[in-house]
Amino acid sequence: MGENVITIKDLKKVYGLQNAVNGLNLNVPKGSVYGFLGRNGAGKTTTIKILLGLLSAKSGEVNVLGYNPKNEKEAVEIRKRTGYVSENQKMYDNMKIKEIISFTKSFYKTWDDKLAAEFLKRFNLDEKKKLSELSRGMYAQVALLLALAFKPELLVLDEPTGSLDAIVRRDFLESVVSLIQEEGRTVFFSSHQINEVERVSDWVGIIEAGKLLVSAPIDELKTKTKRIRSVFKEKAPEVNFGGIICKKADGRELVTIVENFGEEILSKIKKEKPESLDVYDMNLEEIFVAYAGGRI
Amino acid sequence: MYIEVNPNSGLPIFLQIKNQVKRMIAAGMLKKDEPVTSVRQLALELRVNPNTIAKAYRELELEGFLYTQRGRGVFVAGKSDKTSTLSKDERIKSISSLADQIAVEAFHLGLSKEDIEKLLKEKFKKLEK
Repeated sequence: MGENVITIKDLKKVYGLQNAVNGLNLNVPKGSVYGFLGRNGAGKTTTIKILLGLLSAKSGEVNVLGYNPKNEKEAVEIRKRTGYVSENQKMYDNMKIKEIISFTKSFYKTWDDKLAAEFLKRFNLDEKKKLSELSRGMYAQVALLLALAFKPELLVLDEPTGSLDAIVRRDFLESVVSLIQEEGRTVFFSSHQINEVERVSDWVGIIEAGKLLVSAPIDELKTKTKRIRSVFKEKAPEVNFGGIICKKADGRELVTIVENFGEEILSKIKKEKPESLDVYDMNLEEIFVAYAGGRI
Repeated sequence: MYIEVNPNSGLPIFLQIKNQVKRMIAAGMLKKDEPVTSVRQLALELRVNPNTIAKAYRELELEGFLYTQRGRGVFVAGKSDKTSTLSKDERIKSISSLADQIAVEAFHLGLSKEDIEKLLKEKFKKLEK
């Protein structure tokens, strides 16, 4: 997986006085399912829109599938090769499902009728229905169908399950998983549903205040991020060394959350001579809270 | 083959799957030469990235719990002696944190070393059946 499908260098985007994206660096390896995690307003949607050439950046370098979205012509190439589903996607609501399918199909050479029919069946969609008559879940399923049926090299999902109920969300994720099965496909997936990101992704990046705080294979992140609880004879000491994500000293107790956990980190805490020292695994949600919220 | 994935656990998902397959083999729920659910199928059932399942299977194969037959699928290797590619020290180390938990819980529940020994003996007996 040497190749990157998306590379972003020092990206900046300003809305008025606000830095929406503030020096973002990001690489998405080919074939990965990249979970892009961040709180509301962290800059996820802005970043995605810049990737697709739907917004222009203030500065920075962006490359998607070998094209630069700043250039209008190249942005078209990106959109031709990228399936995109966003939370509040707008489609032509007066069309019937059948009509929007043939309409969308006309834009793509790679459209696969069989695949489209499969999705219709799997989602139990009646193609004679108008989009305006659909529930939110069905609406999102149509959007996914349109994004997948032309077999894009890259699938970009911006909070795709935000408005879906538990059952539809399940079907939706299943479709995403079946899509991943096809080799070489890359999925870039923004969400704050941390559970589903964890299931489906193999890479995660955490964005906060327009900057990427960490980006790693999910298993590595989970193995190397640990919570260390140490209790001292008297007041817990102040510790400060590289690798601390956040810490909290309370009376005799010191809790630190560290990245790159290993003997080296342990020895730094042991040096303070704690009476006891325990190391705990962390789930992705806890890791997210530590990075994005600075909380123990 | 019923596998449960718990994203709230601190354990990476591939390890959760690995541990459960190992457990099923140890408990005889999966028998030698029986096929396990394919990567594709299990990925869909669990809604988990297929690479994650493939990683779990790959490691289980390396450790001698599973074997692949080209074009036919993945099968249970039975209780394999390939596990001894890990030195005894390493194997003890990998189980030590569990032993730790047991000891702590036993201490707080006021159970003796003998109680735990007896319990473990029973569990072993079950597996040997």
